[in-house]
This record gives sequence, structure tokens and C-alpha cells, in this order.
Amino acid sequence: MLGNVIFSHFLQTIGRTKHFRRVDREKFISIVKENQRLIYKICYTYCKDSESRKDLEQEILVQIWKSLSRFDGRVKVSTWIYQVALNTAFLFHRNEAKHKKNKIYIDKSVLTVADTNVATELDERIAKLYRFIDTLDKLNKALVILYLEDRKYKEIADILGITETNVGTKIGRIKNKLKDYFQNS
Amino acid sequence: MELIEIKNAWAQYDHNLVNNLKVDEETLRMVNLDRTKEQMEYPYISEMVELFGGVLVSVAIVVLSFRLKEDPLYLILGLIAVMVGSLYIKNAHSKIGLLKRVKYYDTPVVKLQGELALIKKRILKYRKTELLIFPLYVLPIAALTSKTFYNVDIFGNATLFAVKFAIALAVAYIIVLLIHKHLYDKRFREVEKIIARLKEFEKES
Repeated sequence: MLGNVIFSHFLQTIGRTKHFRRVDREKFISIVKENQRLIYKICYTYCKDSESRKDLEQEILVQIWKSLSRFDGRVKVSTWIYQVALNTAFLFHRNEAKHKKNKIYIDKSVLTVADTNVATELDERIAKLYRFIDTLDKLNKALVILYLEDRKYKEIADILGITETNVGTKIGRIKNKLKDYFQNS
Repeated sequence: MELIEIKNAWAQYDHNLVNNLKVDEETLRMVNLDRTKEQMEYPYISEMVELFGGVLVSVAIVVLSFRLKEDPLYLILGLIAVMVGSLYIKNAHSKIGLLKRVKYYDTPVVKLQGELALIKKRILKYRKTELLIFPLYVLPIAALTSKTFYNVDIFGNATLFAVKFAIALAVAYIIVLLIHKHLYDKRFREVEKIIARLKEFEKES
């Protein structure tokens, strides 16, 4: 009798979990769709070759999925996605040997670009901008991306975990560097 | 080119992506989202192995020592190995605590990187200590197992034992110091650099 009660409770729990995971999955796909450009740009900023970009993209998606249950809405979805994506990019190291052995990544990109002109960045200004970003360290890369994305200082401060005043000072410096780079090269 | 033009170019790039970037849902479903093979879990698993392995080895040492209880010298060796083993278990437990403390990924970037760097630094300190005491763990275990399984009594010839022990200890500590210098100290300096870089970034001037 008691066994039946426990067993039925167990089945209900599994059913509920499956239901929540399904709901989560739908929510996850919609979050990924809404933030696909952000994820794409972060992968492009932190990885030079397409193979690494594809792996980082999948790693970011996995971390978003894993963090989804902890997301409590205290910060904006975009702030949370930036935190997850940037932290993943910071910790991402592509190990070719491990990659081949474990096959933890699939050999296809989730984010696909229909117009290849966008992917190869025929716009020289964007190519130059990425070359400039490439000269910066990881933290300043994050800062310049957030600046270009027109994020408010408060949000940048929340994403990076520094003060708004600090964000202002650093963005001021980056603007000067950016200006110099575009004028002198 | 002015900043406003650069920002406009970026906005145009973003606009192009709106029209061209697509999520391949079929591929997204193929990604194993629940996989556990992520880089942050490897240190955690390794420490769990050290913890449970340490407990098992300690139990084995106690059993071996009691089988040789007629010879108090082996009991002393067993005691030394168990004490060192307990330190490994305690360290593994502390490291697991450190690794579990971190709320990965959905934390502000500088805060997470700082926390991880400090944890790496503390784990490196633990590892250095563990390597330093490793000969004191392995040599008594070697003596206990050779007596139990091969009936080789290292105390049979006290002078020979002292010479062998001194040579083994000297060789072991040369290796330990080399590993410290070429592996841990190098990693330590790298972590220190990261911490300094993060502090610099956090500064408001």
C-alpha cells in the first residue's frame, strides 16, 4: 500500500519534471531566438576561426540552458544572457585533442547566416572594428561590445560587476582608442 | 571616421543580422544540453576521487598495519601514512567546498573571474602542500606493502634501510621541487597576473 503511494508519487514527480523540462525547453528556444544576434557577436568577438566559434556557440547554449532554472528575473534577460555568454567565452578553451576524443560538440552551427555577405563581413568598417576589438584584452573586448550594442552604463556595470563611474571612465578611454584606430589605420 | 559613424555601422551590421541570422532548431535539438562534460566539473570529479580514494587507502593502511602489529616500527609507519592520508582527505574536502561555492556563469563577469582566480590560487597552494608530503605518504605505504605481500623487511638491516630511505627521500624531494618550480610556481604566477589584471580593471581611475 505504502509502496504504491510512493510509486505513484514518484511517477507524478517524474511527469511534472518532464512537463517543466518541456516548458523550459520551449522557453529556452524562445530566449535563444530573441538573443541570437548577441550570442553570434560574442562568439565572433572571442573566437577567430569558425570551428572554435561553433563550439563556443554550443557551450554558451549549454550554459544558458543550465542557468535557466536559476534565472529569477532580478536582472533583465539580456543582462543575464550577456553574463552567461561572456563568462562562458572567458572560460572557453578549445582543446583539439579532447574535442576529437570526447565529441562533446556537434559539427554544425546552431546559428546560421542566410546571407554569406554578413558572415564574411564584406563591410570593411565592421571588419576593421573586429580587428580593433581583437587588439584588446578579454575584459575590454566585453566593454567595447557592450558600448557598441548601446547598453546603458547601469546594465554594463551589472554585467561586468564594476561601478557605473568605472564603466564611464573606461568607455571614455575606449572611445579615444577607437577614434585613434580609425583615424590612423 | 567619427564614433557616431562607427556606431551606425554596427547598428547596420546588427540590422543585417536581424534579417539573415536564423536559429537552426533541428541542430539545437541535437545539442546535448544536459551533458556534464564541462571544464568546471573536471576539478570537482578529480577532488571527489581524491576524497574517496584517500578514505579507501587509509582503511587499507590501517588493515595492513594491524596485520603487522607485532612490529611496532610498522605500526608507526602506518600511523604516519594515515596522518598524511587524513591531510589529503581534509584538503580534498576543502577543495570540493571551494568548487561548490561558485555560482558559475550567471554571475557578473569580473566577480566570477576574480572568484575563480582566488579559488585556483588556493587549490594550487593545496596541491603544492600535497606534493610536498607525497613522499611521506608513498614511502611508508611501500614499506608496509613490501612486508605484507613480499615479506621484505626494510628494518632488517637498519643501516641499509637508513641509506635507502635517505636516497629515496632525496630523489623524491628533488622531483617535488622541480615540479613546484616548473609547474605550480608557473601556474601560480599566471593566476597572480589574472588577479592583478582584474584588480586594475576594478579600479576607478
